Amino acid sequence: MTPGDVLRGLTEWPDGIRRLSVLACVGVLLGALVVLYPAALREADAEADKNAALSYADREFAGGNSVVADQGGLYQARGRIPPDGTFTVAVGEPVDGWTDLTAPYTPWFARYFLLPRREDTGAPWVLCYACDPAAYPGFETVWSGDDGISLLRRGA
Amino acid sequence: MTVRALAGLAALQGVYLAAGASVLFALRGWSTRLLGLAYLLGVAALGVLWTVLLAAGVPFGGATITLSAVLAVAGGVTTGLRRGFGVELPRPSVGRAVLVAAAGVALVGIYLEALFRSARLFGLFSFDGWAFWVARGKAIYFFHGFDEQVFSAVPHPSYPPLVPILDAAAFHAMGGADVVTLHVQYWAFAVAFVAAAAGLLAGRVPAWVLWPSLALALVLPRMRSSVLAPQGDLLLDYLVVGAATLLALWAVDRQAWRLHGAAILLCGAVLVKREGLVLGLCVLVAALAATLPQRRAAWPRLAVVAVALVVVGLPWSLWYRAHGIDGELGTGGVRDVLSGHTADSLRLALDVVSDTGLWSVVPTVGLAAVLLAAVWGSRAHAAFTGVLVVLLTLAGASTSVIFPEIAVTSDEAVNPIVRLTAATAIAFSCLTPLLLAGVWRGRGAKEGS
Repeated sequence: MTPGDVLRGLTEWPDGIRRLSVLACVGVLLGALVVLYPAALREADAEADKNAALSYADREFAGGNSVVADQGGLYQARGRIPPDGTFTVAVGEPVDGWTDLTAPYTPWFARYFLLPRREDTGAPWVLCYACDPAAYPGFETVWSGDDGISLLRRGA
Repeated sequence: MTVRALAGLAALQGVYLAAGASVLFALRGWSTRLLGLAYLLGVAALGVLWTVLLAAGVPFGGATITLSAVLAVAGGVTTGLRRGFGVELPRPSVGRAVLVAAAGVALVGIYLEALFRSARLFGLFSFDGWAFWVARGKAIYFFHGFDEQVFSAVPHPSYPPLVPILDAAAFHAMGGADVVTLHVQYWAFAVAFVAAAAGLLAGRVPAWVLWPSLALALVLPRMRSSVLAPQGDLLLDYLVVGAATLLALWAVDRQAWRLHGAAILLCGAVLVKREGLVLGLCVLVAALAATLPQRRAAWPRLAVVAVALVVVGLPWSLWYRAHGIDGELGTGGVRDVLSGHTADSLRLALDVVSDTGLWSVVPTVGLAAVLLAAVWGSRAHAAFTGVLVVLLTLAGASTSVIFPEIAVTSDEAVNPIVRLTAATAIAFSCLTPLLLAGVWRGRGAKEGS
């Protein structure tokens, strides 16, 4: 069968047109694949390189980097509060170094990040984001970092 | 981020595969071609079983995971042997079709390899991921069950728990709450979905029709941005579309195992996300439409599946109500449904589904395939796909109708409509090749001819 025969067959009604319609649909899908596939592959490669280039801390905090300001506060909290301990997050007025997400979402991120430590309003540990330490009588500052972040612990 | 974590996760994938393969063996006998489907069945079956166990207060840990998998494997193999099923090995074949299929597998494989490298070191960036999904998974991992305090504190406390349970299982397998390596689990779901679709359709659809659609599904702009996100959206779509593909085939050949397999996948979907029940019912209604001529035999069976979908959600529902957590019902009334808000929501759903920036040409070619199949191909498949995509699109619009306070916008931070309509595009990716294969053969011709 010559290419001319094939072409003539594909223009015959109805069987040729039926098959030509299928070829057209697959052709459109293939065209889209030719356009999208290389871009997707490049994007996946670039994403892999970007992820590999992150520091351990930035990779672990990931989305939290746009929330928590200084990573030290949560690392200190995780290192000092025992796994079966409890904590609360106290947030004061925003200070330089915070994003719009810091004040509303730091308690959310701390809840996720510090598990299995539980939240408790009467906890012996306070992750203080520019909070008023006077509101926590009997607590001492055990660590103080950047961006107004500190960790308070109820004294013995 | 360690070899230990990756090895543990690989072992867990083996558990899902072994459990699913046994379920499949009990349903129809084993077939190597259906490896991907077996994996999805394993995820759904174990996910449902673990949800029931956790709701009953059984502690969740390595022992529970191992024992339940052993139970699933033993039960599946015993049932399959009793029913006299065997093992179907792949038949070696050569020819142009094999070369085309090999090219498709290679194309998809290269992309999946790049995705794996990305997944292996992916930080948990998505807000919903850390604030909701993984927070609940970590709670199940650390506290060995549904934890009332954490589950009450996160948003949407009554949301179904299957995805957090799978996350917790991954943490147990990895030996710690490694939220970075967890992304590899979601990569595995994507691999399994493509393998499931290819395995189900390969015998019926020529490779040159099948692989362009499947490969395109993976590289769609919206898929690229969410395929590795540790959230329930795409797993829900994989299960729903896997079930839809099974039911589309069942509507024509009526092999009972397909209906049973679809029921298992849809039960899993119900426990993945709140809209799982709605999407599951959409698939069943589409199957009702496709089996209209055989309604006496087919519809009672579909009704049984619908009942199963409602019942499977009960243990979780009982748990959260017993712990003082309210279910989230819609806030809209009849007045809201009849308002211009509904029309706006429907318009937005159509805009989103037809957005080439999200789904490329997939919906357009899919619609063309439905029309072509209605004229020249399988009318049952055309009816199934047509009804399904209309219902899935309506389901996408429903959120801002049921919750009128949600703004009618495609901004994903405000309205989940883009995530909800993904099911439509992914369904088209699997069903379009089936429709086109029927058109290519012509009505009355046998499959494979």
